[in-house]
Amino acid sequence: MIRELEFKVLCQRHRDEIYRYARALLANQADAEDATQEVLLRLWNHLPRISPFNLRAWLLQTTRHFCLDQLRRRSNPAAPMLVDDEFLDDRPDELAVNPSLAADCTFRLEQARRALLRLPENLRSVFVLYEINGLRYREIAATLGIPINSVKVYLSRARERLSNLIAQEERCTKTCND
Amino acid sequence: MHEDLQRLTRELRKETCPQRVLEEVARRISAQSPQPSRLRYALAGALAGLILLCGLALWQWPPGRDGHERLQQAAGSKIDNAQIAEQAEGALGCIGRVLLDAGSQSEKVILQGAVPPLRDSLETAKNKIVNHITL
Repeated sequence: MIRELEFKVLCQRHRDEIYRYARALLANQADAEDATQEVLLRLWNHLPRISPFNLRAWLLQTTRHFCLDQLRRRSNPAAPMLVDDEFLDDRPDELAVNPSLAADCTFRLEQARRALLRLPENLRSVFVLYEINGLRYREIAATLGIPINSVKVYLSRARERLSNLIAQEERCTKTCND
Repeated sequence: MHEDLQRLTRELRKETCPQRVLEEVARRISAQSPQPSRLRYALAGALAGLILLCGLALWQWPPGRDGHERLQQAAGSKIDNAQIAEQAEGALGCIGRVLLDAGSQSEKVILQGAVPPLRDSLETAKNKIVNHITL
């Protein structure tokens, strides 16, 4: 009974950040939902053995391992793993430019999303965990198994590269329009 | 940070996990937990019956073999008591004889060994005292 209650509380607290991280890695809503389900099931099975002080890192680490495993199995080019400057040819449908998205704001947001997906996995993970999920450097280091200094360097690189990629997308769009 | 990047960050922060994910998790967890089957109930009933039979058998045990053993033990204990009383009687008699012998021996020893020297020493002392007074 206590286990169920604890599990429900933990699900309510962490499901969004698991989902966001999974979506950033898998670049697909349905896959992200599956990943979230799987991670929460693993949480249920391992709950008595997980230290409460390490729970958040454990959840995000499990999410990362599961997503990377899924990507490796599928060899899905939709989510670029370690491609650095290679442009994405095969994008997921939901992220492809939708002609119906007339609003400039939405269009630019989609551009930014695409740029995020073009980041290498380690930079993307650090960016998503810090900027979107709000983890601290120490927590990100524990989740990814890297030193704190590397987290800071990766975050700086991720921001810089994202800005460049967004600018590149904008240039590309302008060229296409012209 | 780039303006679009900030907007992206804000938008991604708003993303939430759909409720159906939790519902599916709950469904899978309930499917994982094993349902008690008829076989389990039957096994539990058989075990309880076996324990009951064993209890009854143990309850019925003393009037049988154990009772006979107890009678044998009681008879054995009576024999032992008689033997012990006999042996104790013999031992007490022996001790009495030893004490009587020791008494007679000690009487002899005292009369023959201790009294004459004591009497002699008393005589000597008396003579010395008498002589000293006369001197």
